[in-house]
Amino acid sequence: MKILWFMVVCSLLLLSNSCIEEIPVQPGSPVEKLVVSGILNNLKENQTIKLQMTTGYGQPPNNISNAEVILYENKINKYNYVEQNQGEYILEADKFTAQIGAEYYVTISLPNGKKYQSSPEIMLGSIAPDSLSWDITKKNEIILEGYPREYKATSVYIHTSLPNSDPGICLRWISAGAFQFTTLPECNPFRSTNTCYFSHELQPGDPMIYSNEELKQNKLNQFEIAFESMEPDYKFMEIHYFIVNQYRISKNAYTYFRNLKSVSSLNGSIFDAVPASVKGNVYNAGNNNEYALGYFQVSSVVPIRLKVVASDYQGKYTLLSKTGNLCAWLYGNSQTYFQACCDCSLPDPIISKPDWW
Amino acid sequence: MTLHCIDKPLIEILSDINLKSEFSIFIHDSTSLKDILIKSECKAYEIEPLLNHLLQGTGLKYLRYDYHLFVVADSSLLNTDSFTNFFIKKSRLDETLSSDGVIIGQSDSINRSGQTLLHGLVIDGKTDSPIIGAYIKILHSEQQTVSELDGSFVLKLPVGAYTLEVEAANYHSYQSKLKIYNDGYLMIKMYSNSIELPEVVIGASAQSRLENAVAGVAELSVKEIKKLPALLGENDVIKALLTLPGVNSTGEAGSGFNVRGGNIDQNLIQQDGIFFLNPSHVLGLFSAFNPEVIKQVTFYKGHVPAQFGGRTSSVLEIKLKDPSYTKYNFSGGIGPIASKFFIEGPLIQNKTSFFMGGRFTYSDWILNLMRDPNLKNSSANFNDFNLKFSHKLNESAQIQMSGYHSRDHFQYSDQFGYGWASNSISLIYQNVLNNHTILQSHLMYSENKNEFLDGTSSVQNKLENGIDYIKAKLNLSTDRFENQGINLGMEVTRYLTRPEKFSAGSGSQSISSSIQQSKGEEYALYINDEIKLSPSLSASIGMRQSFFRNFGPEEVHFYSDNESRLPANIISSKKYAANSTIKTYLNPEPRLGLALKLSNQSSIKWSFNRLAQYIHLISNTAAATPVDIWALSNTHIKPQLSTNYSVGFYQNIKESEWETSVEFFYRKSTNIIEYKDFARLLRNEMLETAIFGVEGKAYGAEFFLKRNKNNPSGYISYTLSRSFRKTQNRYADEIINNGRWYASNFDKPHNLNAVINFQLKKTMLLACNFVYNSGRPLTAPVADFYLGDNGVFLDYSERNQFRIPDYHRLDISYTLTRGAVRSNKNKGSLTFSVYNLYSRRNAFSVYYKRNPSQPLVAYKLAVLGTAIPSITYNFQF
Repeated sequence: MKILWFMVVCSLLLLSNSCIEEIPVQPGSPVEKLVVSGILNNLKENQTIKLQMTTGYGQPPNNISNAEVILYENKINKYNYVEQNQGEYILEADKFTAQIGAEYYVTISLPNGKKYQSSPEIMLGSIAPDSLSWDITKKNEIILEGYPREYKATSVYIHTSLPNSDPGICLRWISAGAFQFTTLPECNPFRSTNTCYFSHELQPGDPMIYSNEELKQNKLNQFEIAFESMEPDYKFMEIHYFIVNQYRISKNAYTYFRNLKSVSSLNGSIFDAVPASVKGNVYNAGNNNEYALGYFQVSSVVPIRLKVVASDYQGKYTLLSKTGNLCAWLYGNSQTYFQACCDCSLPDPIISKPDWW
Repeated sequence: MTLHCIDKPLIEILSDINLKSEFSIFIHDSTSLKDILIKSECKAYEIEPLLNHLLQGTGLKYLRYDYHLFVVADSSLLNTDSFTNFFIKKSRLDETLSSDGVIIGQSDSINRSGQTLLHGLVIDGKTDSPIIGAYIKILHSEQQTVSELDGSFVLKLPVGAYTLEVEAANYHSYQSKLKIYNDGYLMIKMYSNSIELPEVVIGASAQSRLENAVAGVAELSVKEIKKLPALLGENDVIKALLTLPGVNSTGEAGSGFNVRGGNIDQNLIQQDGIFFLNPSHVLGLFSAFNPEVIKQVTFYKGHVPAQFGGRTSSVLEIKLKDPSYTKYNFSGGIGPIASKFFIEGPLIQNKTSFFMGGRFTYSDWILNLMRDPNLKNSSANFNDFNLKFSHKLNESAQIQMSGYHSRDHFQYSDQFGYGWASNSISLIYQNVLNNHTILQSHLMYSENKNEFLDGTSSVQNKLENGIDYIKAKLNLSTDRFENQGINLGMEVTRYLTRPEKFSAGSGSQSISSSIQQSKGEEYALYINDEIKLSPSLSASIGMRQSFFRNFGPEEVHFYSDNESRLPANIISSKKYAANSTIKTYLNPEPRLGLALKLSNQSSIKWSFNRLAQYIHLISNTAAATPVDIWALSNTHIKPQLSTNYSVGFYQNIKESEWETSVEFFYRKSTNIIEYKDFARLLRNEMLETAIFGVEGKAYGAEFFLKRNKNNPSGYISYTLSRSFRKTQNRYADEIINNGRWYASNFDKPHNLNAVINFQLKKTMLLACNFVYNSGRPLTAPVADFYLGDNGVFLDYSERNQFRIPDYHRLDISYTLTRGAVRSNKNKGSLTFSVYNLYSRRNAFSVYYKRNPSQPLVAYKLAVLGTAIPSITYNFQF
């Protein structure tokens, strides 16, 4: 009988162990591949393209300077990008604005003599979103050794009416957040408070895309495109904006981002697809089989914003009071209290007040 | 034999020989020998030189009638007729003197040729079911054979007296004296020497392993399987197969098994003729076969006789028990996650019988112990049920009906779930046409359906698919021709795939859809002859002619020859009406196996065979999943073909106490299904745009060492092998790794298994099982990059350039038995086992995550990352 009890107790102890663990990354030979990241849109604004060279995983990529980047419009008009920062090339707004219905591609000549070009894409007509909405949702994340943790987030939803006539509409959204934070008055009774503005990235990091070939109906309703954790919730204590760009992308671009998304969401289960290098639309002009990483996206865009103020959370979520406790909590000790809440030294990038605020 | 001959009467010396040796010497007139004294010492120790020496100059001669019968008489009397008459008289005398042993034929009707045919049947004394692979031998002679599928055997024997011995795995050996005068029939009843779980026999006895002309038949002594420490106490046929050389799997959650580098869909797995499409429960943790109801398992991994076909890698043939016609038996087992039962008995005494066997789980309590809240709210369970009726129509004909039901359910919290169900029924009519010929007719139907529930969004979407089939088979087996065993027959299988149906939940933004997949019929004619060309050379020669027809209704798309097979490159489409033929394939499948017996203890075997496969598992995941599609060959999906070569050397040592073997194999395959990068397989109306055919090769060496007798017993197997794929396609999206050979998903170069059993006492058994194999291939990141979004993305290597960590595991079990002697009616055993004793977290998969502000992290997912103890009680009465 003692043996029986021993076995039962062992079973209970052992079965409570988890089964996911971190292991050393297998060292591989460094791989140098060109990465092209660029979006050409129809707004009158600077158009940017970034060129980098990979150096293996876990290593920062090298920015590529002194490359020649040329945009071709309808195979006739040529526009030269100019290197603004190391590896970042721009086409100034006052020199060029992309046209709906025109065909575009870029050629890239690297300092090492290699030449790449993107597959031509037509800029499709834009589709404007009807509205944005938000709600409090529950999310899960995997923490140590595979255990999930549940937390609350503000999710952003888009609502878009789609034209009936076009069965091949593909959309992509790039979202960001901006919020206002005012310093506490008790920091310095002899000075007025200061209002700062911050930008921040939203989750998930994966591309948010949609194709009406795979989904039904001609209206996108309550389609979640981004979310932001409520932990910590200082971003939402005053005014918060969700800023969303809705891009009309080509089917090729949709396929590219869908594949990129699938290799980003692997979790080792039996349902995982076999991963592979995702081929974009930029390839070596002398060797069609050599693809650059990344994608040169030609797409029209319509921006949209959603303003959320602290009082909107009433009844949905209880925000922490903006007190010294919050500031201490942000940094974990009282010494940083003054830094966090008295001089706007929050961890997010500070920005100047946007025109539209 | 020690003889003292000097100054002893000849009659006395011959009597000594009779008493002290295995030889019998009949003397015509003993009085005439009394006066003959031998004056010299006996120097010869062989019987014939000794007799020559003794009879020299006496006017007497001897005649050797068979191996151990000698007649000594005056040389003038030793002509055939007089001898026969003498022998008849002597035999009568023997009969009156001894009632021991079995007598075949009448002593006054001795076959004049001096040769007889002994037809026999080896059956289980308890259940009356035939015993296959029993080794029947005549002691002190070269005469030996192995019982056939129906337990029958034939021995050609000279008239005479013998000692017959029969051995069968897991049975007490049988020995009896035998006198045979003419052709006759003998039924041998054997009794199980086991008191534990029902026996599962893989392969055959050590001796038949040498005799059989079929190379690459995996052999494993019967006891080892039930002794193997089992995961959560569930004895598992497939887990036992995985201990054999050349067999492995993708991991604990990997459904099915891979043989000699082949895909899991390339194994024909059939139970009483019904083939299984998903041989696993609970994502591969347990097999779909209930060991309680299994009579026998035969596994062909190299040479496949022509009566089997439709898969290109191996055949796992499982035969269900034949229910007892005479008495009721009940057995069962209680384990931590599942219980099982088995009941059998006569419905009409000696006429109609049945059995029922089932397993059901109550595994949710384990999930409730988990700390992970999602697992805590999950459920996983399965059940399966077997039913069989057997009815004797007359002395020579019987009909059997067996049914199988299986259901799986898995729900992961409120996020996703799947269900798999299979229902099959088979009808077998068997008629013994004469002493040499048996006709078997099979008719079977099977439906297999699954569903996947996606509850990750606010609405529930459901995906359903599956495949049904109906099959008829006619097989005639005969041994009418001397030294030949012929199987010939035909079979027809009609496949009816279920529409792949996607149901969008209310409020879902997805489109409900239904995809009609193709239909097909597979026909085959075959003949296979097992020939004994000489006492040392035997062959298995076969030919299977398979034919496949893909038929409508279906719409077929045709693609431009110059461009990738993509929806955008469709140049025309054609709609085919119901039952109209769309595409046909015809494939000859020759089979040849040769066995050369070098001695009683060693043999060499060669094998060549060609196999065709018309049904394909479409799965592009790390392991097969419950929602994978079965696709049929059609206009675009060509049949998979494999050509297999193998050669093996088999050596038994110390009268089969040790078995050793080494086998080398080479397999060349064409039209293996491969997947384009990011292939979309589910809900794809044009599946051919996501897949393409590649060629494959696999080769390796398999080493096997087994100790059958004594303590400890067990075996060690080691396989050194490789398995590769290669694309030879024209289009960029159908080229993998630049057209070079690359490792297949099942390429595991090293595979070592050791099973050792210690019989501590008659009632105590300690068993250990150690497994080591190379990690399976992996496609891993080689770079990361940003695209201006929030995420960091990974660039992956060429396909299968890396490997997950190696796999190794030690399991132990300790079994206490009650009623270890055959006479006990009620028997029981209590087994304590620990699976994965040292809690190795073996990787099922490795995956990578890269967050923007953190370095790349590799995670290892271990399905069973801990030691799993269990207690199981099995009983029988």
